[in-house]
Amino acid sequence: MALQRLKDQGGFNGDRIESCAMPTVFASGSDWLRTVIEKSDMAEGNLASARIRETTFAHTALRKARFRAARLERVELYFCDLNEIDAGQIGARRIKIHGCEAMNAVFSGAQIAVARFEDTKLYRARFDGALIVRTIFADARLGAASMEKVDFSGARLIDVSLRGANLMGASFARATLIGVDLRDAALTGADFSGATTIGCQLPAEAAA
Amino acid sequence: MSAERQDVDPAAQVAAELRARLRSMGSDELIDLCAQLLTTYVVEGVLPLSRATESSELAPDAAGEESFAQMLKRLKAARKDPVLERFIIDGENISVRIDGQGVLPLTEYRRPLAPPPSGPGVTIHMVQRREGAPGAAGSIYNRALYQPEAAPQRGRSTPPEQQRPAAPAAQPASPAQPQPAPAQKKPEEAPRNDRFSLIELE
Repeated sequence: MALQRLKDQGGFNGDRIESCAMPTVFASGSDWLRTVIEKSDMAEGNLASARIRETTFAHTALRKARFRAARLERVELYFCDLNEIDAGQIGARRIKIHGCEAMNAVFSGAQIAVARFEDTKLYRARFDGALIVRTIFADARLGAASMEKVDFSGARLIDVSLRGANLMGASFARATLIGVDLRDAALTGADFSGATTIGCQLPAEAAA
Repeated sequence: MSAERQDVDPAAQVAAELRARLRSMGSDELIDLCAQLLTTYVVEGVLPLSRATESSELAPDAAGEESFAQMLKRLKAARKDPVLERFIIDGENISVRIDGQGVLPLTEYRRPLAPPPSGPGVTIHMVQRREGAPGAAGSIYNRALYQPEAAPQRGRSTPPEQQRPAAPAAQPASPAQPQPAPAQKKPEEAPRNDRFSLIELE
C-alpha cells in the first residue's frame, strides 16, 4: 500500500508508515512531507534527490540507503541504522540524528546547517568537502561523540561543536575550521595538515 | 603604530585571518558559504552556539506556537529565577506555590493555547491584562473571574473611560482594594482577591 501511494502520488504527505518492509525501495526524486516512518525496513532504498520535510524516521533500517543530493528539512532520525548510507551532496537543514549508527556513512560535499548528531556512531564517516554550519556533535552516554577516523578533509566547519569528541585518527587536512569548539576532544593521530583554524577553541594540551 | 596595534588585537587578527582565507576561496565556494550563513543567522535568526543556551538544543523556530505552559517551562529551564521556580508545570497544567497557602492551580483561568508573552514578567503581565485590558471581559477565563467585581467598581462613581488608561497606575493600589472587599462582597470572593494580589506582589 505504501509503495502504491509512493508510485501514485510521488511521495508521502501526512502519512504514517509502520512496520513496513520496503527494502530497495525506489523513491528517487519523491516528495515527503510530514511523514512518520517507524520500525520499517528501507535498507538499500534509493531516495536520491528526494525532498524530505518535517519527517521522522524512527527505528528504521536505512543501511546503504542512497540519499545523494536529497534535500532534508526538519527531518529527525531516531535509532535508525544509517550504516554506509550515501548522503553525499545532500542539503540538510534543521535535522536531528539521535541514537543512530552511521558508521562509514558518506556525507561528502554535503551542506548541513543547524543540525545535531547525538549519541550517533560516526566511525569512519566521510564529511570531506562538506559545508557544516551551526552543528553539534554530542554523545550523552559516553560523554564524547564517537567520531574516530572521521574524514573532514577539505570541509568547511563553521560554528560547530565537537566538544569532547573522540576524533582519534580523524582527518582535517585542508579543512577550514571557523569557530569550532574542540575542547576536551581526543585528537590523537588527527591530521590537521593544511587546515585553517580561525577562532577555534582547542583542547588544553593543543593550545599549550 | 596602528599596524602594530592591529597585530596585537586578537579580534583584528581573527578578521585578518578570515579575510586571507576568504580571498583564497573560489567564487562558488564563497556563494555557498554566504548563502548558508545568511540563511542561518540572518533569515532564520539562529543564535550562534557560543551564545545559545547550555543545553545547545536546536534553535526553536516555533515560538509563536508554544503554549503558555511550554513557554513557562522553557523560561524555567533557561534561567534560574526564584519567582519562576514557584510555578509547577505538569503537562499543560500550571500551579503556583505561595507561602502560607500551599500550591494553587492556575490552569482553570488559562486558555488552552495562550500566546507567548513578550517578557519575563509573566505573572504580572497576566494580572494587568485581566484588570486593565478593555477586551478582557470577552476572554473566556476572565469572564467568570472578574465580571462580578467589575460591576461594583463602576458603581463607585469612576467612569470606565477613566479607569482604562489608568490601569497600569492603578495596579500598585490593588493590594489595598481587598481590604474593603470582604466587608462589601460575598465571602467566597475574598480568597480569590488575596490570591491574585499575592501573585502580583510576587
